[in-house]
Amino acid sequence: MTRSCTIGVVLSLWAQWALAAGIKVPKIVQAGQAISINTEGNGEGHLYIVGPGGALEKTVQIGTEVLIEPDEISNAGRYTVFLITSTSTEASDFDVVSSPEVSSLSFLARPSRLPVSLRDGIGGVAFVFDTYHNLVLQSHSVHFQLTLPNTAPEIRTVESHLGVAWVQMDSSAHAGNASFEATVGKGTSLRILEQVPADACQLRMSARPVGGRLHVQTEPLRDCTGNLVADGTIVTFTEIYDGNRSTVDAPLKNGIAQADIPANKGAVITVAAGEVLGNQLRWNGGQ
Amino acid sequence: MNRGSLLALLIGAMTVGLVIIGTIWPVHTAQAMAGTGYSFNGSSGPQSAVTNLLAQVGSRDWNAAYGRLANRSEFSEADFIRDLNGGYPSLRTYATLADFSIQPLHILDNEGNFRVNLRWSSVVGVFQESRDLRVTKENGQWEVVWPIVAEQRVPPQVIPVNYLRWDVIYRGAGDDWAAQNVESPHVRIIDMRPIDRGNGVSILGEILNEDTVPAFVTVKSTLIGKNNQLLGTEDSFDKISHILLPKQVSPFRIDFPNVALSQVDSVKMQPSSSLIAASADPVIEIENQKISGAPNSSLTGELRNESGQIVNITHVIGTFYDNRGQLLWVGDSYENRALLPNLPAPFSVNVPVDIADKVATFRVVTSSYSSSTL
Repeated sequence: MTRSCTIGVVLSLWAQWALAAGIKVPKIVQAGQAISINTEGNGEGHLYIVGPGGALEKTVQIGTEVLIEPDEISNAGRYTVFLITSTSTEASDFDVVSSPEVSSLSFLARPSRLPVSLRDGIGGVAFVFDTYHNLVLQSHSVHFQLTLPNTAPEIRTVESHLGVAWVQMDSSAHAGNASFEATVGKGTSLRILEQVPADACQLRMSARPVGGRLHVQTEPLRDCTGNLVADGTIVTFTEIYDGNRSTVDAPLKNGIAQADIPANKGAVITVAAGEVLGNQLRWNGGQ
Repeated sequence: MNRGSLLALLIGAMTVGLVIIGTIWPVHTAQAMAGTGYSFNGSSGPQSAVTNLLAQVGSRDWNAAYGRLANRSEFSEADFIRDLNGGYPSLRTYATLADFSIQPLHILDNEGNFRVNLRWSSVVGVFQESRDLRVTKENGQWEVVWPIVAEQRVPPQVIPVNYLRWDVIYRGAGDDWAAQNVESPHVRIIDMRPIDRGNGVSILGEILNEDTVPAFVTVKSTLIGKNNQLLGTEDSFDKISHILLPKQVSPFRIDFPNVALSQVDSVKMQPSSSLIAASADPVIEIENQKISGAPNSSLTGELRNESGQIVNITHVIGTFYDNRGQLLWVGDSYENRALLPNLPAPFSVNVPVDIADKVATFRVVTSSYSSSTL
């Protein structure tokens, strides 16, 4: 009785050893490379690879090498391999890391619109990616270039750290659309930043009679660095005459605001744009 | 029978009673507006002629109303309709006569004078109109002499306008996630004051577009009570000029009915802005602004459209300040007729009597809507 039990246990252990499966996977794989997984044992099993971005299932002949093509697993991160047979489950982990070669970048440029002559007003952040859109953790030189029409470009070179490079730059003194470009390796990305004029620096107007009414008009309105104040900026003309008030909110067009107001002799006319007050006129009938 | 059932029975009985009273003794104007063929004190009285005419106007039976006029030979039916409906699309075009009242001024054997107050219902509220009507007796029939007001027309012409316009291209679905969207306009509340108006709290304020692009602005306000409880959240709705051009300031008023200022511990303001495609035209001049005191305290003036575009609806918003420059009130009105190029049109903004006495200065802004953008 004792002998038959012993023989049974030995046979059972032998059978389990004979049917047990094993897997061998590389610990680190670079994205874009094929992955070779060695299986040990006999029979048929199912191989599952679970990781960032999804899972993969293959029916495999245990004891053979399983080849995973580059496009089947390309997202960087930690993967777990399961080999499941009718009698056992084996698991192992491996990491997919990004390729050191830069293929593209994502470029955040903020803000899209800002006043001229603003210190550190422009922020640019570049994220460096490989072909499979994995963040490239190795350091790379990222070139940031800010260009305004008819001006020399301002260039900064920054080393990326863990896939990210950033820069802060001043807005220029000239208004206009600036091209803000980030370049690294084969990757390049362009953003357009609108540098807009600042508030008006000085406001002056003149008046002349036109067809029984008074035509009031500002001189070209500029900010303190000489840019024409943005078109559409509201300029308010106010006429006070005999206790009555007349107002017109006129938008700037090509730096000039104009309006027709009643021509009342003795009227006092003022002009303002935002918080900037202009000159004051007293209309004496054109004399 | 419990108390709830008794109350329900009482309310039901009162409703039935009121329906019976309304059926037997209907309100004259309501019956007239319902178009039930109402005739006032017999069809032969002078006031009856006015009532019937206005009832037909209310039911938009222009042909029948025009047929009742004593002076219909002086103008066409189309002129009559234009007088009441407006010649150009406006608030008046889509308004309905909600109610009217008739006040006899004097009545003789063959002639009478009445003052009628018409209350028109429009999408932005009720506007009133007062007209003095003369009635005459011709061949034993009373007929109304309609005081036609010929609406000014703009002669056919081409008005060249070199206007500014902003269009916006937003980021699209196919853009890289890092592609920046166009920046929202920067706006700022530059003044704010809560006031107690007896039947509620009003938040008055002004908002400035400090950017170089047009902004669509709204202001939301939340009242917080003494024990940090929420008293209410409201927004400025139409008591604001929603589209602000660069450096433009709009007043706003946010009303919280049934809240006392003594209950309020703090006020949370939430201005918001978004980029909007907009035009700098039309430019509207506001002439001869003046404020009149009690009893009918109001801000009056004239609007003049300096552009070539016909403005279908004009919204006038007045901001009133005391002698220290503190906000006192924000009031508004809508003009019910279209504003034609270079033809002045009067406006009036009601000001509460208690506030009008304290007003030292004021500021008026307009916002306009044209059919192309309606």
